Amino acid sequence: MNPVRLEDCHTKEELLEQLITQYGQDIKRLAYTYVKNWSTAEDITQEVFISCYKKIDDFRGESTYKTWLYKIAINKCKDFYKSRWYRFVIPVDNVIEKFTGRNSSLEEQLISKEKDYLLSQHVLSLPRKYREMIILYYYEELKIWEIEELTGIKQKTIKTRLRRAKQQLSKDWGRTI
Amino acid sequence: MDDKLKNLRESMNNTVLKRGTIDDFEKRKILNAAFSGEVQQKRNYFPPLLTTIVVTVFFLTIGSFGFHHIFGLKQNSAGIPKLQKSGLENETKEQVSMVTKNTEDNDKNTGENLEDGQANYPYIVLNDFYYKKTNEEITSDQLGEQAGEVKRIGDWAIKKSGDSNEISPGPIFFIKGRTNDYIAGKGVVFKDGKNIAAYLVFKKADQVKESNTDNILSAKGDTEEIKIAFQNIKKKVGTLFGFMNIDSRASLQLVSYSNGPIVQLYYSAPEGDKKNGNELIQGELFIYQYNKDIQLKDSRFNKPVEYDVVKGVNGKFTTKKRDIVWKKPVLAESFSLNGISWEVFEDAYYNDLVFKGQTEKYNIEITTQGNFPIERMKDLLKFYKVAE
Repeated sequence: MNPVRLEDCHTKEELLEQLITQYGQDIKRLAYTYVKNWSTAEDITQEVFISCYKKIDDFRGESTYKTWLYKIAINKCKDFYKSRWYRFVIPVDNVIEKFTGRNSSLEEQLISKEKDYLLSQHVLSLPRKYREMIILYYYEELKIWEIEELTGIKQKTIKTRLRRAKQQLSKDWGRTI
Repeated sequence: MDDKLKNLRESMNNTVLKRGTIDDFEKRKILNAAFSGEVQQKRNYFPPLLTTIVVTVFFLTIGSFGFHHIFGLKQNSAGIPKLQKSGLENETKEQVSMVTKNTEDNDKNTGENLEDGQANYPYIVLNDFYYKKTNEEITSDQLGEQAGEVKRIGDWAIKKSGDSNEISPGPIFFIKGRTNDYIAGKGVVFKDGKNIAAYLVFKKADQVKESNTDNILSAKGDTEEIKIAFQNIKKKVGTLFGFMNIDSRASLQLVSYSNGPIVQLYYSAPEGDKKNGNELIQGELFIYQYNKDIQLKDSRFNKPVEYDVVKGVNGKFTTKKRDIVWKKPVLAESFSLNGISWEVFEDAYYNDLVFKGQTEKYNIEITTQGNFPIERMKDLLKFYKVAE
């Protein structure tokens, strides 16, 4: 899919719609890897595009729309951790599932490879600062310098966290296999 | 580990991030939120409310205790411990023991923590018993033998061994030096401002009671519950249509009677899977069945409502209904199958087909996701009939 370009869209609203179509799902999934709660990830996705719509006129094209949106998303996720709601939010998915009966775990276990599931769970169980690096580097396939640009964390620290995250994952993996 | 991580995107998208897709409905929701500048939040107000109540009750209790102590009054009220002993130390001990006793009382297997036979606390189900989450965490070296496995997370009407509403699928263990009334599983705790993984301890509590399945009218994600809900709805509406005897081609994923008497069914139909670049769009069929005298709000034959943003004089954005160019779906073909008169409409607005079925009493509306040309749908509809 080609990146969204302003010149291809006639209005700001059309551009927003294009951005949601192209990056909405990625933003929602990225947010989930931070907050581990679909309801919150949906809220954050909405907040990202609210900010995007408000600031779209100020976007100077110094980065791609994707990088810009990711930066907003990561900041929103970190803001969320600072909020009082964060400490209350962990069981929310369970509450929602209670009412909706929504569940994909069994389906996932049956359909998906067990190892994929285990690896994904181990990644999600990592401490946040390690998980963030694994997601940005391996899941989003960003370069170290891109992660630095997005998170403001120095390259040396990023490499250290990546190394430690992998050590932790190897340890967890060894315990379950 | 590096090799495994190279496929992390695929691994996660196929498993834990599978639910992260955005459909048209959610896209509209995000657009509306962006235009209105307000998130349509679904946050859980119960925990902060509960915390407020607990803190208030705690301070009222302490306040009452202090008041009676200072003024030397004897406390006779029910539910408040006797405080006639002299000296702060004794009283403090009394307070502590009261708290401990109450906690123990709550842990008794009295069934008082069940609502309609269902646990109202965080649990793991193992061998027909709920194991209730305690406030304790242990380290991996305290884990004993494996007790079982959490197989699915969520809350279902029919509880099965391996269900948990608290921790993700994975092994669960007995604990060294403890009876088998205690088990532990890997979960998440919030400590020192961080979300960290920890082994959470669960204690054997209430026995799982057989569920009353008569009230299950909506289900998703559990084959058994879906079947029960389908049969229960059938009893309610009298005649219920569905794809019969082609489970491998069209399997029921969701049954809903929440807008009863409108019945909603979602089928997964892999033959309609479609690739969009690297993304796989899964073949799905969305069905509404409703009495002819009912107006279906979400019908494709109603004009969709969309919003535009208007910048007010104060610089703030407000929403205004968009004057969209929309035309009613256009009839393309008609045919009859299994006593249902079908009309196929081309929907230019969504660029797909809508299948409208009619019987003497019911309207049926089917929309699709994925690749479902008329011929494929006709072949599938041969199996769409009155449920047995």
